[in-house]
Amino acid sequence: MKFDYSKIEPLIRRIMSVVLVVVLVCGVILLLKPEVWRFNPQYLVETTILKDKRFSANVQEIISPKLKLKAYLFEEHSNPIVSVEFLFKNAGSAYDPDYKEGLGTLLATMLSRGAGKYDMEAFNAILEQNAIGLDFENTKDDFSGALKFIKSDIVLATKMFNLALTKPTFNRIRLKQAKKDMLDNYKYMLEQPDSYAMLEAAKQLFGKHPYRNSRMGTLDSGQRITVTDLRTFQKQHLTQDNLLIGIAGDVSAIEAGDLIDKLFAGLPRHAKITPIPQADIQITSPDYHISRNLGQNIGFFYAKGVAREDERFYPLVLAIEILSGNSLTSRIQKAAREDKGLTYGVYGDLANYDKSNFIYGRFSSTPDKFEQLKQIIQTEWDRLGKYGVTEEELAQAKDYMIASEPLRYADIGNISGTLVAMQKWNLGLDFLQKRNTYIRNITLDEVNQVAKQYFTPDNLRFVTIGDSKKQEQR
Amino acid sequence: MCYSQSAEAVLSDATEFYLKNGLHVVVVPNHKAPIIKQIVVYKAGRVDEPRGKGGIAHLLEHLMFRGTKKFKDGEFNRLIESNGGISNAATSHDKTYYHQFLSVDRLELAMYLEADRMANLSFDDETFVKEREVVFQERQERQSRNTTRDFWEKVDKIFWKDSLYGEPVGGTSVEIMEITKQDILDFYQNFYGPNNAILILSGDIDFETAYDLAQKYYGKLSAREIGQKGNTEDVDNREYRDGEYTVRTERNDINISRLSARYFLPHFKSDEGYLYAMMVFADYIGNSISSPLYKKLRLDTHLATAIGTDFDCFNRGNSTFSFYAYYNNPKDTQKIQNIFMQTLVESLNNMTEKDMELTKKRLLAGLVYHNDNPSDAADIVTDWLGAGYKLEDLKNYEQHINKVTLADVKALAATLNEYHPLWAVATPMQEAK
Repeated sequence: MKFDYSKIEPLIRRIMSVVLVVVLVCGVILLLKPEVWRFNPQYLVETTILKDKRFSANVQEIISPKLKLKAYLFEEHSNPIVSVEFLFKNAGSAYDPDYKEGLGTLLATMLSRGAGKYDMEAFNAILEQNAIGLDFENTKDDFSGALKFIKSDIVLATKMFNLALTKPTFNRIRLKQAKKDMLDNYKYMLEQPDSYAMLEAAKQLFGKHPYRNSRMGTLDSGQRITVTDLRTFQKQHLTQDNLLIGIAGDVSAIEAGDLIDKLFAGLPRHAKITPIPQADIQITSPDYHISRNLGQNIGFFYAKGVAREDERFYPLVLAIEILSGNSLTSRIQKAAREDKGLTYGVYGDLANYDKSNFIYGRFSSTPDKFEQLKQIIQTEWDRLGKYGVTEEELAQAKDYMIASEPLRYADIGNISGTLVAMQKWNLGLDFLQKRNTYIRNITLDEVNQVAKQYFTPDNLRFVTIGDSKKQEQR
Repeated sequence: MCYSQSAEAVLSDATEFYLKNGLHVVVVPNHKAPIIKQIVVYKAGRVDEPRGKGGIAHLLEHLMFRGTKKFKDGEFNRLIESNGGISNAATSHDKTYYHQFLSVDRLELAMYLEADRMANLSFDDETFVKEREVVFQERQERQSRNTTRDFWEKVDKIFWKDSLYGEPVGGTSVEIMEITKQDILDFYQNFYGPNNAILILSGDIDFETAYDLAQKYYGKLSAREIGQKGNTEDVDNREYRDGEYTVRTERNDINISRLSARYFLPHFKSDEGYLYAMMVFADYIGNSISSPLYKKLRLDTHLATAIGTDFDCFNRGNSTFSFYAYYNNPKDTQKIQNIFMQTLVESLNNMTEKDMELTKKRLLAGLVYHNDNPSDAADIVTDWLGAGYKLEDLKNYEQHINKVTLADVKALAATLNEYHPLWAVATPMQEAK
């Protein structure tokens, strides 16, 4: 049979037109929805099969039944472990008595060098064999600590903790050893360029204010500290009315209340504290250089900042993030590292002490390039103050702060620490729910206002250490 | 023996599989928060570089952040950062690894980017030169961060003799400036294939999803012919083992004295029993307040400000055992050395069943904490697998430790007595009288 083309021609025409329509429709879709054919990170995040994971950060406020102590609790039952963090306000190294600097640090050490009927060795052997983490330390403002244990050891861990806090023996031999350790640690700090420069910077910035003191005391202050000094400080500063507590992990609210009563039983009720004054950092004096022969010069920069409670807090944090955040995309990192290869790294941050708020940063480079790096920091600093940040930079910095937020839940120790910080800064029980909204709502105007106020040429001071000769040669 | 009901659960949910292209994938589910850590480990580091050309692996690590055929310089960091990721990388003698810790809904993006730079690295000459400068600066930075670092580098060289383990990971300053772009591209081509890599996903993900995503993003990469790896075989030609040998320095930039004793040990792979017995012994002798060394040097005499022991078995080559002490009075050097040697002999002779039991208990007590932080869990997997152990070794850690007997410990630790350690002593410059 002969093939009759004309018979199927209409069919082909129809097929052709359908194909044409399909191609056109696909084309239009491709044009309108570029994510289908081009890599689009936003699309990938929005359509991921890993989205909509439900998570609620539920923080409860509890009051312990007997002592009526308040605490924040975050229940997390996936692992049988518990983390308790706490701090005593106004009990940090700035509250060490004159000529007895280092007292708080020594106290933190001595609390776990023998307590109750246990000597240092027996006490710590129990902790080690049961993986009970018990740490005390101090910052400039506070005396803080952490207890971490496996749920099944709750009775033992509680007992050991309470003994350390209320019945330390302060054995004379152990105290003598602890003083020598502290002195050796202080001498070691003096060796290291970073820590030495920071000690010197504190003197420059804080003048006669006790914030100038090292946590490790001085070369001779430790020797003057007596057992009576330790007991007096403990009685006056480590008290119930001075205490903030955060608990995270495998405990219910009832268990946590009971736990608190047992942990802190026997503490004195009321603190007796001599307040310390406000301490604005001194930045009007000229830059300060410490001469030392080093392969790499190190610099620190300092400027006045705003308080944690200040409404300009987040705007300033965002501005600092854009200028010198820890990531590789900050303005200074880009200008100095990525574009010029001048440094391995520059970072900056905001420090909030109870009585002082300041911006600080660190940078380093070989002596021949150090001045150039310092100049870039100064230039970027002034530029930020003069012209502010762009919409795009702000969006990027906000995205980072918002999207990285869940990472704080990685570690229960970190969660309990956050709970203490929330109380210290009065952030409210719902802070974790609201925090991202605070950041989202910050406007470009707010950031640029605070930039104009704080990133000025006269609000910046450098403290540097290293080889000044090679600097001059260049 | 059973120490803790929870310890046996350590990373017990971890599973592994291989893609067709050879990529080894390890999944460690942890559903407590919607976060995850991705690590890609390349089993190549300083020891796989040509001799005399140090720093290639490390400079390559830096350049991996500076562009691919698809993404221009800076895009990788910008994308990870605006998605809240904490991202970095590190190079060691044996391996180079890259990690991102982020919200789980951003994981696919991170996988896309990580897979992309496994195959498509691309950077121009100018970027290369600048990044080499950054790496040079990093080297200087590390030198000045730690006052005595140059001394320990010298000690490393003597300790390892001809082995590349004795060379600084990132190369010397001179070596760094001699690296060429071609060196980098060669190393990348030789070692950055999926068949020389391990992908670790630790966090809020289940096995099936992890499998699908690994397949989706890494499955299409082709296996490569992997280059000649460095020699990590057991080498035993160290003269200092036959007699007293101390490397000394007096310096005017330190206030505190420090010393170390280092033992060169057989390759761990030669005997698995040896490995775990050594872990127990190293912990027993110097890693706790109840240890003989701590007792003698800190509690009783207080000669030292700090002491410790370390059994390093996390490399592909020989393992090492070391002891270190920080102390105030340089005149105590010989005394501390004597106490260490004496304690070592005594411990081998006098260690009891009770000591064994307590040491094991201490070693195993905290294992359940590993199930808490998904980022830490990923790092542990990196350490073990990056050094050539199997996932099963890690999962069976508790059983292995429990199986160790007192006789095992005594037999193997006796090897420590057969040879001398390499001593290194750094003391402050004494003022002339």
